[in-house]
Amino acid sequence: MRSAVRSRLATTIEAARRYLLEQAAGGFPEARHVMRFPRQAGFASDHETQSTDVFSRAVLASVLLDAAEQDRDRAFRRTVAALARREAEHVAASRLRDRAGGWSYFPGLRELPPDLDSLSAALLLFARAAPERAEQCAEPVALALGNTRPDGSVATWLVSPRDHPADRRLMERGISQFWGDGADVDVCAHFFFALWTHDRDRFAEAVRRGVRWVEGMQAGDGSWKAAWYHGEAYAAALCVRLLRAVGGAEAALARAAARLLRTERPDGGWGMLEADPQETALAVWAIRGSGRELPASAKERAVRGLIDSQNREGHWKGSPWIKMDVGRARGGGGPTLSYGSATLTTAFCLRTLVGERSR
Amino acid sequence: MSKTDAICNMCRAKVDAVFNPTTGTRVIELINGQRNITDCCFVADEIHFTGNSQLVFAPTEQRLPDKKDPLKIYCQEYYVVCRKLVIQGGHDVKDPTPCTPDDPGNSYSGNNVITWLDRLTTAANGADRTPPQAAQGDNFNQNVWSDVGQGSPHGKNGGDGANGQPGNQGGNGFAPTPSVVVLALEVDAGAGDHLTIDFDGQNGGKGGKGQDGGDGGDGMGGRDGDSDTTWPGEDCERQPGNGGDGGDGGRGGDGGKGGRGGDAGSIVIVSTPANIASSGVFLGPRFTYVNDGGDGGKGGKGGIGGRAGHAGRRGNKSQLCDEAVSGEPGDHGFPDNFTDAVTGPPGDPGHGGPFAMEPVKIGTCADQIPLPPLKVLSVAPPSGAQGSAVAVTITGQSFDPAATVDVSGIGVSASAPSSVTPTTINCTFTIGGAAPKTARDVTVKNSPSNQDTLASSFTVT
Repeated sequence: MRSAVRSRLATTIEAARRYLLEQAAGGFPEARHVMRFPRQAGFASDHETQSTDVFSRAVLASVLLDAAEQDRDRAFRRTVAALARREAEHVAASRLRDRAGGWSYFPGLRELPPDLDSLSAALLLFARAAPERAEQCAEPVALALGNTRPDGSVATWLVSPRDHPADRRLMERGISQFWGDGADVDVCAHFFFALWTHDRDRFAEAVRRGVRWVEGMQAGDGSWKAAWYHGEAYAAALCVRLLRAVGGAEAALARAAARLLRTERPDGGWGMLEADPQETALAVWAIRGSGRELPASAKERAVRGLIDSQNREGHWKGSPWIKMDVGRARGGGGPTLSYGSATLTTAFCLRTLVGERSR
Repeated sequence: MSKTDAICNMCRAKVDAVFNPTTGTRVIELINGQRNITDCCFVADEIHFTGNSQLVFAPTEQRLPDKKDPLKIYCQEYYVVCRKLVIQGGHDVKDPTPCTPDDPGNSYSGNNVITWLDRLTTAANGADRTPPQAAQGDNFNQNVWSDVGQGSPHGKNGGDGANGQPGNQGGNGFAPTPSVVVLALEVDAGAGDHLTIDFDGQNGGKGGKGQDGGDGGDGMGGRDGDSDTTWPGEDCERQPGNGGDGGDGGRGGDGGKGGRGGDAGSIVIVSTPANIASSGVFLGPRFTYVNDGGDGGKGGKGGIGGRAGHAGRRGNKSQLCDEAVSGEPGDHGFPDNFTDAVTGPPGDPGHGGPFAMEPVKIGTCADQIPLPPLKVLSVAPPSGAQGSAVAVTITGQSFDPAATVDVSGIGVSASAPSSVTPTTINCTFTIGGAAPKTARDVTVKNSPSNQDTLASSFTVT
């Protein structure tokens, strides 16, 4: 990397860290996701407006831990470790007491069941930052694994026979009318990696079956089709991380890396219509995660693009991250609701830039 | 007024000191390297140029209380006065105006010249335009929309950078350029020897660098579409805004004009009619005269164009909203690089100066300059015995250092002089034992055609 870029990189990283720690001090207010689920549309909750930050903060904390692990700055590592522990407490406190599945994305939305992705985010964070809290995940994990399908995948929604019948009816109605059923590869990749990180001996068999399913879900072009996330890179990063951790999937990793390298935009970076900082950061992260080297020119373009697109305040413009296909219960076709956060985007960018600087 | 009269007016004391028939020093000046002279008159019996001889007239300096730099004061006219110019080495200047703006005066190193000090440098270069870059156009955060009164969700276009200002003009050549009068009655120069007399105007200074064009401002990012946060998301509550266009970079300023060359001073040669005739030595290949006007300075370098402003990013699409478009980046200001920068025009050349030759005027102080006729006045002792060797002193005038002595008749021979001054020669007469005891004539020869004899001035006894 040219020295001029390297010099600017240090400034960029410092500004991003400052922004994220400022957000952390306030409990990541920008990362909160607010939506309205009107009764007119068939929802039964007391409050039409639902708000959540549990899932996003759990993911944020894990991403920051990834960044800190690559950072030589001991003070930053200590700060992030304490921050992750605090976030784990926040996630633990948000566990639903009356539903066996553990964590729901919108805890106040009665039609929305606890989900495997939220469980995965919680378990992964507990395993890394507060292992004593992982016990809270025991029942939801058992419920999830109990629903393992013959192909090794696990359904996204966690509805237990032990849940209150009235709640169960609402949740089942939500699945059939709004959310749709089935297993999703992006969610499963998250879940199996969390299991592997938490207790690889205990869950080895389930994880290995899950890995085979994830491998099998890879498209011929090396990509995975994400059900709940925009773009290609986030799903790729989740799947690659799992396959690399568990091992034995070199061919799939090679295809994934080749696909990502092929889809670099001619002017550098990754994105659909133009280079998008979040997609770029995730693509570079996924390529590295696959164990492949990024060509120096592509690395330089990507890093420079991220540096150039950082805002003066140290953050990046939030890119769409989570997507919710409103037509999923009907077999798809939208419309699609989106959620994105400058805080999340900044964390993804920081993690990638710290990683590239350390190489 | 003839230049001979001017010399007598300005330099009489020095001329007398050197050339007075009885008290004149007849000093010989050897110019070795650069020799700066601040007096208006440079007078010597002989002036020798030896191949690396620069006789340079320099100003005196006067400090004024309200001025940082001292005031330079040149004589209006300088006078080089000698009986004989002796020139060895040197060469014709290939470029008659050797002091190009980028070569301030080094051309005379290793050469013979009579010139003036500021001719050896160029005038001051023009100052580069400051600040080095013109103002940037209105600049916005290309990622973020803000309300600056544009009344739409679209990002505002970045402003065009301001055009650069031209560089400052180079300094004009020093004015006024002094003049020179060279009075020399004889020239001793062999084939290939050369002297340049350069009283050209000072070359103008180089123009200053033009100002770089201002950068185009970045276009503002478009406002994000308003997320339809209500299930099932059938409406776009607010369309995302387009990104603003980046501003164009400003044009780089032209380089500054070079400074005007100084007007040349006059050169006047005063000598014998033979020397200044069309076939005379002063119009031959031994001399070059430079006073056609100082060169104008080179134009300064132009500035480069300003950077193009970045395009503002489009606002994020959300759900059912339309896709917005990002702005267009601006254009880089002309030129992209220094190779294409517009160099400033060269400065105007100075006017040439007059060149003249005139014969030395008779009946003036210059009458003292020629050596008096060779004359033997006495021989001491006036006699010598047969078979002896007698050390003799011959007195007279205008003895040449290479003069020889002859004694008439047979039996007496004169040795080569052991010492020679313009008025005395010491040598030895060897008198044979059979030398006739007669009075002898003693002859001193400066050259075969220039000799004088004192008859019966030595007797053999």
